[in-house]
Amino acid sequence: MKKLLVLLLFIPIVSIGQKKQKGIIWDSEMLHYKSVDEIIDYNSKMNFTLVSKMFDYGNSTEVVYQNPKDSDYYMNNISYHFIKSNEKSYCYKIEQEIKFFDFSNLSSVKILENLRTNYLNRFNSISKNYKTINFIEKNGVDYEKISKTKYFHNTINGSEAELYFRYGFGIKDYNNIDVGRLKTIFISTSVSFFEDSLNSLDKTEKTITKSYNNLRFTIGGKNIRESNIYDLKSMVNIFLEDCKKNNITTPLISTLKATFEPLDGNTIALSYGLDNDSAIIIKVDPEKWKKSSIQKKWYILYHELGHDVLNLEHGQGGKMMYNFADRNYSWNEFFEDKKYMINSIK
Amino acid sequence: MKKYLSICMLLFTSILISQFVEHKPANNDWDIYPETEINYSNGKEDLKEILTLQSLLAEDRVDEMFKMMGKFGYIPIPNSENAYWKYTIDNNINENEMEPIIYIKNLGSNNNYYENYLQVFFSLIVKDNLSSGVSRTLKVNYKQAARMNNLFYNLFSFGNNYRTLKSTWDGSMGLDEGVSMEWEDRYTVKLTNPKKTSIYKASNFTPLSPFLRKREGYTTIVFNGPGKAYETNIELKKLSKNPNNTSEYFVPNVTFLSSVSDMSKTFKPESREPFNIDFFMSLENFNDRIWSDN
Repeated sequence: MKKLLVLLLFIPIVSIGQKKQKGIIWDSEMLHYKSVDEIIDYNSKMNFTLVSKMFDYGNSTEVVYQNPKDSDYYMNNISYHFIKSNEKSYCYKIEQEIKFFDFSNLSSVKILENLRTNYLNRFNSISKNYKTINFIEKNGVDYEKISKTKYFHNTINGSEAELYFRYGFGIKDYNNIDVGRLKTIFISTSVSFFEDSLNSLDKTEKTITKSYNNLRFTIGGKNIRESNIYDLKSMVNIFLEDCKKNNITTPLISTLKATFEPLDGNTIALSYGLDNDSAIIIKVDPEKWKKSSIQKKWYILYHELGHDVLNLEHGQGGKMMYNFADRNYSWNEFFEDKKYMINSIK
Repeated sequence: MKKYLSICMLLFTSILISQFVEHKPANNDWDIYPETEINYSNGKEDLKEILTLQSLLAEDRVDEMFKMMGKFGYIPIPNSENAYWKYTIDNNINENEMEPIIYIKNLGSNNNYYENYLQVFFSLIVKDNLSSGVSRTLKVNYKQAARMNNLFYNLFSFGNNYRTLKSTWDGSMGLDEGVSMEWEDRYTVKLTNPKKTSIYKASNFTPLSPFLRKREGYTTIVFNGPGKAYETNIELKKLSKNPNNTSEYFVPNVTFLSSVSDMSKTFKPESREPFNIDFFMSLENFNDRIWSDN
């Protein structure tokens, strides 16, 4: 989308020049592993202008260049660099985006010929499965979604590296007779190892959150989100497991009675085992229980068992042991307040 | 009668002594298959980090555990659940070194161990012909597997549980004629008889007591460490073949499980201070502090 906006801004100034540009398609594999400065140097030799540099995405940097404005096509070259240190960077991906109108002197046939010479013939010989992907540009194209072909190529240091190649061709119709149809050709080559690694780093936080949730929601080997919230006894047992998990020794329970019984007023649950260490007696109002969210159910049960098992009174153990539970709770609140309550008695 | 008493005494002493691990100065006698050129340069630091993570898991300090994982350089393995490795984007690691791959697992409800535990595969860094870089492998040949198991085992400075050592050799025990006992320092006892001098040292790492049942197919090392867990069992799976390719063996596969209590269930986690990350990480050697001496 961002790229499309940039393009639309440039449409009025794309001149319909007659100058022919040679070597439109870079031999981008040559540029892999080069430093940012080397790529900038290469671009300036090709009469490309540096548009932006050093958009820092953690370990990766994106550098954008544009072709001379008097060309009969519009072209963005984008190089992606893995920054190892202040001195060292590796270019691991080159994207080339060529846009031209029907009325330009540059024909798609010419570009495709150029492309074929540089890439496609080779791919046909390397991979029989290679397919040209066509895309129609509508609201901007996510080039990452264009399927990629793996191939092997000798890098500048002489060793063979696995690369990804992406290729797409698209047409956008402008309902304006003066502008006509905009054609887009997209090509990219990237070092698979770097691309995969950086992609997986992007997902790191998400994966850690998943692991983190796995750990905090699992008590006694059971995911509390999936527990049977109408089996009060099993819920109480999960609380006891949680005590163990948190290094709290609970007394041997000889009586465990957790039942649904109507309770007066707004009371959802009540504990009757405060200061009786061998017994857990909990009564839960079935109507109000049914209407409560799963988070609230657990919150209330932990509150009551805070009285019953941990012998806490209102005013002890933080928010979870507050007198009223008259609102809804999030899972984060449940875990935070539970942690406070448990830590208060350690 | 006196003769029987002497025999019984001798038998008792020999059973008792056989429980203890005799201290041997470090040497290279156990350096097997050096031709594989496998090393584990970061072994002690890795082990310290893993023990820290397991201790935090045993205290359900999940937030801190993930924070420390990040600090130690572990990131999730793509497309795997609860699996972590030390990964740098430029793969700046040396060939033929060992490196841990950690899986966070859950044992479920049980009476003996804290439910969350770590399973660690000590992978081998090998040359990767495809990417022309290096990668980690979990399958190696016999010599490599044997050396890797040995390198892992040698990370531990084995000794004796301090409390057992102290209560056994407390000075009041009757010794055979000609046998003398002397405490060289707080953690070292020396037994001398006319034929031999034996040194017994206290250590946080002990082999599993012969009185306890071993897990089939595993070698168990007991870590009497800090924190609220009673102890941590480090279970190293014995050398095992890849069932799909019998010429391949698996790299060391180690389970770290923290015990809730002792056998008699008299131990209470409340009696211990929580695991102190900074203090544990600042120790240069594992036995700089004997944790059962408190």
